[in-house]
Amino acid sequence: MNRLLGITLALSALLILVGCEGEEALETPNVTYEVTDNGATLVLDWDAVPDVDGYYIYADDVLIDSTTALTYDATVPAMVYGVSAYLGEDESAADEVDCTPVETANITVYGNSDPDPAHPSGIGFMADGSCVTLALSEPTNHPDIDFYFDDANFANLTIVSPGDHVPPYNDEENATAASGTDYAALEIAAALGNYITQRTVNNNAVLSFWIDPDADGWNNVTDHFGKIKVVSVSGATAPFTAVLNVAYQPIPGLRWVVTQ
Amino acid sequence: MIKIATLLALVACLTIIGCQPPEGMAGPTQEEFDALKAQVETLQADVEAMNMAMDSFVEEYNKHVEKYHKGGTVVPKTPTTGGVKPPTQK
Repeated sequence: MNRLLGITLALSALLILVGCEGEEALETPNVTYEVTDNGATLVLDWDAVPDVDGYYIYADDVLIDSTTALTYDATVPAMVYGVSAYLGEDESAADEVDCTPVETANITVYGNSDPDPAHPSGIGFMADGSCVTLALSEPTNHPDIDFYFDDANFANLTIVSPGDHVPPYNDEENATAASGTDYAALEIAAALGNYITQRTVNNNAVLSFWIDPDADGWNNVTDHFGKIKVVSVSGATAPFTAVLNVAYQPIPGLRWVVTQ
Repeated sequence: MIKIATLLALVACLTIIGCQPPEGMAGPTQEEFDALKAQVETLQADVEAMNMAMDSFVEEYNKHVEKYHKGGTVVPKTPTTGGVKPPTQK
């Protein structure tokens, strides 16, 4: 009798253990991307996850689409795109592509007619996407200059490509485009064809910018885009001073600049 | 008939000769243009070299003043503004 009871208890315990074992979690898709369409589209690709019904697409944590394909053309700018696999009610974790621009606030720059060597007239973007000011009088800064502010050759403060200076600070052909006045509302930098390498900096203006270090038109390897908010321009005459907020898209070639 | 043909040929010849630009008015040749371009580039290089020489001279002068004439007036640093080439639209 005791033996029968023992066997019954052991079997029951085994059944309970098997029954309580958690379901195997779905594998997370491994997402890669490519920027296309002159920077307007982010093409997401991933390897197939076995035994799933399909994949969910998220933009900034909002489910926007589902697909059974292994690629998705993201054309709506967002800060973060995510892809998860699903099987019935089960869903894997999402693999995410971070498209958030790197923001630098309250950058003070001075027109290059300003004789004070402590008043920098150049700006440059570091490897991490942050923006720093650079003194033009320091030759070691010249390779890093992405734009400089000229009020010596222009009546108004003008943002100029370093390659336009005579002699050039470097060979980059960087340019800006007018993009209204609402910094937060600008979600994609201006389309190609709207940029110029010299532009007057007006109070409260928003500019799209295009860093083209090879001066070879758009590519998704070395080019970068972003936006600039001109918080203020002070001075009735040169030398002028400007305060800027800047957002830099770290993904090469992508024109998305969603900041909120 | 021959007279008319001769007259027409004469008119055509005179027209062609008459339409030739006067000497020296045909604009610069490519060679002249290239020579001018080379001259401008040489001048730009010369100006840049002079600027650098002047900067170096001013720096030396200021060092001298600071070392041997305490409180003497040094040449203030002026921003090197340079020029700007025409903008590029893209």
